Amino acid sequence: MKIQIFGLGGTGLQVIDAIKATDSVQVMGWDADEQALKNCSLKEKRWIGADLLRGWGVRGDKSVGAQVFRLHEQEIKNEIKTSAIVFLVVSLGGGLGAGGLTSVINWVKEKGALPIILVSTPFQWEGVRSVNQAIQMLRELRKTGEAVFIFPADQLTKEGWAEGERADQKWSAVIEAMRQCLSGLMEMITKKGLVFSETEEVLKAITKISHGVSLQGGFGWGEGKGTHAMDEALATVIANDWLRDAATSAHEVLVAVLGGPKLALAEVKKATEFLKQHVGNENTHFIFNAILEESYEGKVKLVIWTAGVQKSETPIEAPLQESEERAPLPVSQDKAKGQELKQEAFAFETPNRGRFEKTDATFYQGENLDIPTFLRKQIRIRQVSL
Amino acid sequence: MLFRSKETTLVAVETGTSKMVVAVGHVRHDGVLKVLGLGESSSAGVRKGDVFDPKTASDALREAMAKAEENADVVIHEAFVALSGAHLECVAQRGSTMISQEKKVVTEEDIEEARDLAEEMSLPEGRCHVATLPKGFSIDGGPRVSDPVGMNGTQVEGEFLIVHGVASRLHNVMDRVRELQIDVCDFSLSPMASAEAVLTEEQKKLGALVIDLGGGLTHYAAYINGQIESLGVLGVGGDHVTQDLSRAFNLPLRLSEDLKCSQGAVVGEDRVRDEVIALKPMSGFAGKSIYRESLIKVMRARWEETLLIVKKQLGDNFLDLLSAGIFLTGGSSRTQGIQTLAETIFQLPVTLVKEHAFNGNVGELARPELSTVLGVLLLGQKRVLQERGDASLGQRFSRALKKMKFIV
Repeated sequence: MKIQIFGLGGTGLQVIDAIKATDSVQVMGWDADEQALKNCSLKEKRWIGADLLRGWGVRGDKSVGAQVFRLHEQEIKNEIKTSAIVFLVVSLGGGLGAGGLTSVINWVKEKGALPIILVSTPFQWEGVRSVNQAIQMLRELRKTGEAVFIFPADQLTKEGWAEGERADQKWSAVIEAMRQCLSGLMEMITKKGLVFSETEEVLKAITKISHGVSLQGGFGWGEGKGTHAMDEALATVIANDWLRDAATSAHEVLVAVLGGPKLALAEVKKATEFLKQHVGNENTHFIFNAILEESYEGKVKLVIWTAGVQKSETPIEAPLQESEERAPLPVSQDKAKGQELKQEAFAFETPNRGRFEKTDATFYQGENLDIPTFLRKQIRIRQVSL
Repeated sequence: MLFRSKETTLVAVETGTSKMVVAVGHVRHDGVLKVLGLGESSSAGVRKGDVFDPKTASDALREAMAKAEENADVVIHEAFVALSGAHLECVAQRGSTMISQEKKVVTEEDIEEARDLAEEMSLPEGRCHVATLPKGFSIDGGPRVSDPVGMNGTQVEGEFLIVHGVASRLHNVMDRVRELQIDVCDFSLSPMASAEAVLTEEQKKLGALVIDLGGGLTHYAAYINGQIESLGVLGVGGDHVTQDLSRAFNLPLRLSEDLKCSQGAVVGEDRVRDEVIALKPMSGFAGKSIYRESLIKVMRARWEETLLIVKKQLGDNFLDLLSAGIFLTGGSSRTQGIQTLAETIFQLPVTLVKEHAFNGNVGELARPELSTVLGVLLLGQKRVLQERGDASLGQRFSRALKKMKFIV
């Protein structure tokens, strides 16, 4: 199966820069910033919006971003392969990627391909507009039932800042986590696992977990080498910032265990038992997939995705008000000091599945079929006016 | 043995999303199946084929069972149960074995061994093996045959569809029957049961696809050269249409259901663009008018999507092999225009199947929503006839049952 990875905008470009293209995996960056493209080592990259912006980027304006992508509609459509799995990597707080995302998702679907989306959401100190834009976009993505993996940058600031730690270091951690998530998903899809041998099964598990990720979801990864490789990997995975809070409320958990062909089943069992003890509760549903191959000889890597359930007492995240003061930016102490804005998790409206609430949601290629078709396909229904 | 040689009364149970149905039949000495009676009740406690409220579901089944006993004038002790659910999945697996060089012909044991090898697959936690369906066999890489027993060769390879599902959900259905002090003697997969009621053996050989559009589920089964080729269950049915209408026009669910059944259609919105349907006020509803065009749009969107998913799951190349065409059945196949819509999507002749060729009260049986339960009876009849003709077949069924014991 053909896999395509599209990085849209600056963040997308940064995340996919280190991903290796192969015969079955195409990696392509789309950006309006000429300089960013020059600095990026990707083989396939496209400069878009050159005529409109003259290489200056969209300066955070989502509507301009959308306009740029529309101008390149045909070019992008031509690149999308029919029936491919298309990963879209984007920052929802930015202008270009966020602006073009909805259109690109639709074009991917038109080609009969499956979009899987990785998004980062901004730090609070990036501004009310960016944060609200991200919240709004995530709501839309949930409404249309897309498969989305979310990386809320602000989660990394909850534990405070280490002495001398800079914002760009925090941002690098976001980029690295997205990269690890992407590569974990790729491993699951492209390599034959012990539990899932068919791509369809893997996709089903991935899309299922992705729909719960936005509801108090978590993510983590860890690696280990040598005799105690598994112990090392387990200790690292459990310490991940994005897993810490989500671990207790996890409802669904997907784990990829990557190791060499000699990795003992006892070690895999050890990992499953450890994670069952430390993540979720007695009602949590776990799915483990072990991928054993030569390139992992002598080491172990664990990648974990958790999905939570929306608690009834969790308020729907309200957009921030322009009048609210911004949280302090640690590197610029002279900036405004204000009350700490609450943005603990992106908890969004669960699409109302009505009479199907007590059933497992029916998913097909990332779409939640319990949501009325006319809503998902955005079919206009004419109403008789009173 | 499944059936004692003299006992030929069969009972089939379907715990559907819209209704519980119990059908009682009798296989006469001449082999003809006669339907003695039906018992039905409005289903409750079941969604998408899964029991979510055991007590309510048991009560509904008890009601259907009592009606069936009364109408057929029998006391029910054991029954065949139709199994379905969106959790059912199937994968194609192969298994091959060397033919004994002493005998040099394929034996039943060789087939069993190939089948056992095909079944050797690990399933995710909580899932269990439900059925193994042979697609065909090949001897030494030769052309596919349906029954290789007695053929010469050195190696036989079988291709099987392995059906697996969530054990707890299957138990949930079985438990509802057992609670009524009724033994579950065996089960049938609903997609295959519907196909049994709808297709002739000739159509199965020619290549045919049966799509059963039910209340909570859409299931399908495709046959090529007389053998099952593919089957699937999708967790979408008429219930979704009811909900879609409720959401589109802000209507109570009961009214949406009535609207769907009485006025629903999936084609022809161009001809009724400004036609208005007036919905009368009722308790808790102030009355409303809606465009017929909008009603058709909402319903078509859902059924078009559902049929397209079935098409996609089967694959385009596969459709070329369906010489007998496509057959629609199930309660939702009553939707006006669904045949035209399916023909447009599949580009193949589509037949609506409403009636079933049974002896008995034909008027009562001429309903597409009965295909599954009547198909279960027909599968039972087949077994009775095989048992009557071949005592060793009884042993084979017993062996098959042993394998399914964790479910039954």
